[in-house]
Amino acid sequence: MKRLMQSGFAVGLLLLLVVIGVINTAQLHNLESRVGAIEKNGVATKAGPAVKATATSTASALAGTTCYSSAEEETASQDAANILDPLVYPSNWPAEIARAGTLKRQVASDPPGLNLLASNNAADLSEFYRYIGSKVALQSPWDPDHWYADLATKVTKSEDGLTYDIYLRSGVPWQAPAVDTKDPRYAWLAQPHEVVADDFLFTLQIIQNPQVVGRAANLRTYFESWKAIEVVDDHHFRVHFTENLYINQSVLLDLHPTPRWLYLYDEDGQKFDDATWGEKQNSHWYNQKGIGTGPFRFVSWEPGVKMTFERNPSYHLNKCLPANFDGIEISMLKDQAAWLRYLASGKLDYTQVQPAQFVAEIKDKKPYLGEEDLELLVHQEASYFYFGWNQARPMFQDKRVRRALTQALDRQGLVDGVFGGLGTVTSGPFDQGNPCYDPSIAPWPYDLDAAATLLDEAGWTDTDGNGIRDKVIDGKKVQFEFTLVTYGGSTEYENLASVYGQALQRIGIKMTPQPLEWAAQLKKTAERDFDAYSGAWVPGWEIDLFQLWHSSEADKPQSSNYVSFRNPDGDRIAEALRREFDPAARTALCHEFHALVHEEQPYTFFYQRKRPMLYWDRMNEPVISKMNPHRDARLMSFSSAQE
Amino acid sequence: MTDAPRPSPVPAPEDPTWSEIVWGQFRKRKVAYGSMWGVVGLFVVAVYAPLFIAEKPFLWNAGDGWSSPWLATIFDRTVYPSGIDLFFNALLVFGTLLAIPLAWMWRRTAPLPRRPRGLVRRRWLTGALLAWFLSLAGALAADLQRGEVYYEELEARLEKDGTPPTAVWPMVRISPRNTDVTATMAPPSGKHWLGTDSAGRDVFARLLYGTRVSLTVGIFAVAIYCTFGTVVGAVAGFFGGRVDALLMRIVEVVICIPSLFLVLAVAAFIPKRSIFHIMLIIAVVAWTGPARLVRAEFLRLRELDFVASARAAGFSKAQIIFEEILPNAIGPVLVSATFGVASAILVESTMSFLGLGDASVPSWGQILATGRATSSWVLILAPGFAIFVTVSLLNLLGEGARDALDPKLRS
Repeated sequence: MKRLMQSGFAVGLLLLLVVIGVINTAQLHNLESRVGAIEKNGVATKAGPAVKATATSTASALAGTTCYSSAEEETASQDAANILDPLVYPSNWPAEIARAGTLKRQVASDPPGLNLLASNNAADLSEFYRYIGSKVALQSPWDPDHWYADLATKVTKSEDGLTYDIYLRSGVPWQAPAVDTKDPRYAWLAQPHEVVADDFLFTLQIIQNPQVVGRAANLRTYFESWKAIEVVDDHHFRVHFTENLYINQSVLLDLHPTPRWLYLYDEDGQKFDDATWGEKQNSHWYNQKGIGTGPFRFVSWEPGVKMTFERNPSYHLNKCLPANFDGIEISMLKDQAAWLRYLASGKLDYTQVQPAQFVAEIKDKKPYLGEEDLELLVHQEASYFYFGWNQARPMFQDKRVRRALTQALDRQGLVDGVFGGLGTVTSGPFDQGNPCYDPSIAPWPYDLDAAATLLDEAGWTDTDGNGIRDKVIDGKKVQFEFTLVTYGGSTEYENLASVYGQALQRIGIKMTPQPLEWAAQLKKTAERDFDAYSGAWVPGWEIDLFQLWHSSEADKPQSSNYVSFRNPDGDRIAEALRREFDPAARTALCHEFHALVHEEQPYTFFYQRKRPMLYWDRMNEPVISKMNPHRDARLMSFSSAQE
Repeated sequence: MTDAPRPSPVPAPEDPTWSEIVWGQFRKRKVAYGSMWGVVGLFVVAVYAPLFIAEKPFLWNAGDGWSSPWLATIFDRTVYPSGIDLFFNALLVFGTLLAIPLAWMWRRTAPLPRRPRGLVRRRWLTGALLAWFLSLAGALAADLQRGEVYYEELEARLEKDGTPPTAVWPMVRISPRNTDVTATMAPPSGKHWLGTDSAGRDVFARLLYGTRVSLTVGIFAVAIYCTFGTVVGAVAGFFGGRVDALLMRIVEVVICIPSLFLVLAVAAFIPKRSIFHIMLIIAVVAWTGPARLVRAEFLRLRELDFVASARAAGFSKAQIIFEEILPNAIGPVLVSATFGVASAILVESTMSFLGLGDASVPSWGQILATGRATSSWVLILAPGFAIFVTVSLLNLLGEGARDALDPKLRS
């Protein structure tokens, strides 16, 4: 009986799935034909498009203008020594912003925690901290060569480049922690605090404390040249460097304060002792909540459900870059294929579209999803995707082998056929929009014959006639078989693994794909426990090659040189680039490095993704952040023209 | 047959045996009987899939003599990387070869009386099974792995050179594994009967080869857990008392855990999941059913006279359990096994659909998942229909078997 019920239930479930799938598709078709019919009859569906047209035809009054958030900031900007720039609105800054309502968007998974330094996996976290946090200066999202005044109104640099003076804006309050201060237990958190120089010193102390794991461990390499932070007074601190390196400035300007009055205490307000306070950060009672000084304040986080933020009325940049919404609601929707359905049902204001869905439902299918009011924006991301070869393993130590592996990957074919044409094949470790990327270096072409020749040259031949190449390494015959760790749960990567596996089989290599959850993959790569893996990297705007490519990083346990790339030329360029300030010379060094990795192929560089984004036209066309397109809600807004 | 015992002195008309009665009852149930042939048809499809769809020609002559790449690669791990395919290919080649003498012998022995007939047939069957296993083991041990030759491309190249080869091809020249990035998500056509999936693989071929995966998972998972469950149930039922109490508490604990969640949780702990892991996982959650059935039967049967006389005759406990009681208790297990196959197929599809299956074998659930991700009609309906038909056939078959085994329902 139980068996019957079980199988009956399962049959029902599957049938239901099939029926839902059918109904979904049928509905779409219905909607499409309905809209088509209405259009044929000459009846306007909505006033939407007309309003949209007027909105876009009015040039923004703000576009191209400069804005100061305070008189203090304006005075500071007159100082020629100040390396900060005044804020200038981009040319596509929307004219009519409603500044009301709640923005609803989604992410695929929960972050591991909300402590910006002690939690792992910074990629997810940094989006949330764009809303609740602020830093010494604000790197312009639309023009990343410029840094605008943020918590500091003025930053000056000494002649020798070894000392920076940072002058903080006065009267910036820390947001109230997300606890009930009426509860006697949290009464010690009731009084307000101002952002002071000591909060920046505390950030540095956390990063430099080896007890702190998580993101701080990844960042440490950027702080090796930091000698000390000298607190002059509450609104003025001085940073001393041991060496004048190019990245010092951007790392400093990107520094965020950490409230010592919160993170140095346990839940009952007892101060941690000096010997173990660093360790306590890793499991701090406040790590599941966020705090900052940004345009939004953290309200709540229900893991697996949603995270909510509300407007911060006392945000220090409220005059120039106020929060455009009353709040932000970020839902955790693990099933990426369902995002479009949530959007269509109005539960999201905008969303990214998966490649397969883009081809099936969006591409050349305006109105999208049968809705006149949905708009499409496709933008290239700054990150690149790649395959990393573990060069600590003998199999991948020969660059001819790595190049053969690259030439066996039909990158253009995959981008076009499997990834919906949404991307550009790439040949090096920089964003194609960055001057560091040398467009004259063409990616190695897909060529199985060339790959086979390279493998022959490297000594990999099929001596035993089993269809798989082999080679004697250290007196032992090794078959060319390896495991490729890929993103689990991605149809595209599953397909990619099949396609790549087949191509490799043709040149006598056996590859077994191993799809893993993101967290499991992260663990494997960090522990160097892989043959090869698929990854993605956001190279950042100010290029520093140390973290990924310097041989000294290969030996550090938590660092990011997962593939153990060791190359004397690479080390030389990485070191020279750190000390080079002249833009032209830096570009030349970058190009030299690009050529080197193109030759060495420590990674097989795959592509830079283009992401389609669908949004309701109640929103203004999003201003695209160069560094984080689609993931910067500060640049999104509802149109006030359409209420 | 020279070794057949002499016929008994009084030749009487044979009384029907228990299995003949059940079979007669089963045949009267038309729907169940039809379903049985449907299931047999599925097996034929699974076993003979490479005869319809394969990328290697049966016969090939490019001017250097005749060869049969199809036969030469049938046990090649490069062409058929999955163990399931090798197993079914062994059924296809050796099974077909062995079925011919078996069928001949079956006809020969038909006029013999029951006892000698049974004896001879059993001997031949055992021999055939042994021969088949030895052939399979031989084929696997021979390690027939060679570099793969792509004959379609070779043919195209030879034709371009003006020396077209002579070749005899299967009906559809496609491998279920071959990807083609230039033809992803192609609509149904003459070449791809059900179109292609998002890696450019032929959906019809994958559906057909998916039958192999589904049936294997179903049958093997059920075989594993029925064996285990039966032993546990037999021990509990026969010994009773503390042993029974202990085993039944364990059973109850396992039953309390929602099986789908247990399956998903266990699957998440296995880093490189193969299809054999999936079978084991299904077995882990499902063995309690047959255990309880067999225990109940044993509790009833152990009090009967034939058990008492077996005891009196000095049979060992193992003999009493496995030779005396178990054959009488196995009926309900066989019925529940039929339903079990259906539900195991569903569990495998569910796991593949959720991306927790074995990605290296073509499975119906996986096609369904692709269909959902790409909102493609064909990719949703085709595997959905295949699952629906298979599960329905097995359930109808199981119902028929249950009714046929029930003496109260005999007509």
